[in-house]
Amino acid sequence: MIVGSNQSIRVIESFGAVVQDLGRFGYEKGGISRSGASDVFSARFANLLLGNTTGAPCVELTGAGLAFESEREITFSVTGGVAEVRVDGDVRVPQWEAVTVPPRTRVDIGAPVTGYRVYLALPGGVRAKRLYGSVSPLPPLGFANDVASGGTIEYPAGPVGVPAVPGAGALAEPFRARLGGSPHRIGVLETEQAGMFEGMELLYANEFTMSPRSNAVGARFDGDTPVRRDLGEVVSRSVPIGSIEIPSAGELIALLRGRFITAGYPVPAVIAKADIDTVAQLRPGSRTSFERIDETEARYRLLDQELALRRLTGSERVTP
Amino acid sequence: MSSPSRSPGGLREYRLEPLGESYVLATFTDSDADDRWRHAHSICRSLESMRYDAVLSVYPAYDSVLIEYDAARIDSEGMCRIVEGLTATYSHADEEWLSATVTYRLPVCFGFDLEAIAAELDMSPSELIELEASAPIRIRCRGVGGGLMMLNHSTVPPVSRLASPVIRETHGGEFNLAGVQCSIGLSSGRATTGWRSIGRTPVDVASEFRRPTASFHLGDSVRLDPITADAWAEHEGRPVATVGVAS
Repeated sequence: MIVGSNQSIRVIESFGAVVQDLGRFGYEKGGISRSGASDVFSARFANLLLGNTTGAPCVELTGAGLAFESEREITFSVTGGVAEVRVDGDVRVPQWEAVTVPPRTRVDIGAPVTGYRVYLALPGGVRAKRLYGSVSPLPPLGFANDVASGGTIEYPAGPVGVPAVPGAGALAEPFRARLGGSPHRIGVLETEQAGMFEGMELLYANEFTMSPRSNAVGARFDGDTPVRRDLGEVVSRSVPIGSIEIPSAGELIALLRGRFITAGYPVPAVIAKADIDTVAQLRPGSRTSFERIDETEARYRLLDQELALRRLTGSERVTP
Repeated sequence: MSSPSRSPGGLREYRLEPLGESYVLATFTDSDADDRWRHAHSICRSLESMRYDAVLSVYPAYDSVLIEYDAARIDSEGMCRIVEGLTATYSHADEEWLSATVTYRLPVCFGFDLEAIAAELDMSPSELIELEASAPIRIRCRGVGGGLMMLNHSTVPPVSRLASPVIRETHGGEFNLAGVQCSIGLSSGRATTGWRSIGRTPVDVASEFRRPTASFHLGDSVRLDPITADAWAEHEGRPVATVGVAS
């Protein structure tokens, strides 16, 4: 963590939490991957609840909880997967709302019971070291801002934004609802490269189970997949976040925001941008199905998310 | 696949392919690999110089450029029209970056899958090493995943990429082959890859990626300099600047 005249909270327990923002922009030509929060909508919503900028650094918890204590009164927000948030052990406080607690309060964020990743935003955003303009992990270069038990999380001491009014979290309700139910339905757009596969209908007819080998680079699924029939060499090219690759029969990979930029396997379908956050919230063992949608539907879903975020700020200042 | 288009005046032959609602892939299909690569990167620079704020990112590679745009503001058809317009223009200013390139000499200790791959290519390991070290190889694109990515010498037959990527222990500085491509990897550790390795350099290439203005830029070349395992220690840990610039 960056030291200085910041305020801080003391981390009592952490299990692999990291500081994330929206990732790296402008360095792709030099091969620097985007990375950033896996569930962008939840990270942005958590920040906007506090009046932070939409891309302010926040804490990402993956499949585990976090406990912290603050010497001062603090306002925070918790979004993402469904987790129990308790203050001083007994008072339960809501997610998707700005919550203020008095000095010397312990806050326990439980492991998510639905969904997989939880976001904690602090006033003004978390202070952390940056590489290529971002605080987010870049594992190939050994860069990360880990949140460790016994450590501190710094945030600015100066003036911060105005928190959203109580009840603002209702704006996220349509997106939170996607975390429940099984199988999860993920919208995909087929590409011309689908012609390199046999049995594309299997992608839409079958359910797939998320593998424990999944990580921030890619969500892996087991199931009865289409089979690649054109085995010609594909020269590496840049691939979208959300690309679906089927390197061998029965194995499907959905590339997430930690993906490397180039790949040499065909991409028969791409997940709608608005649905990538849902994939990021799947936990190993989750059952998923893919639905073929068109560009209009994909753009509608994206606009729907943006509208919710703009309503949250009450202005047009929110940008992706 | 859709048929390639040719820009007015016949300057560039390309194919445009929407990938999802937020990306368009422009692949250049000119007959010469160097032309394809230069066109991909010059379109990338043209897009950047437009400063059109609906374009979120451009990702050039060997013969293609992936354009990420804000689908809330423009659709794939509109984005394709913009790229078509750019292919109709050609400026030597787009290629000025090529004039300042250099060649680095990289010591490489050959090994790993060298013998197996040489056998697949029906040559001896020493013949394969000799071919790889025969001339500089140009860096076509870079990535924290792929490292320094290049097109191998035309004298080296294509080496089949693994049909399915495997999880294996990788080493920073590995010299890898896949098809007509080759690369110098960055990081060590368990990774999923379909590439096959035939050597490793002791030069810390990853450290160059941590500094935006460091070495190994697009268009630079590397000349592989075979070393023995005994010579590894004398090169290990040296920054790239001390390895020397060949030309």
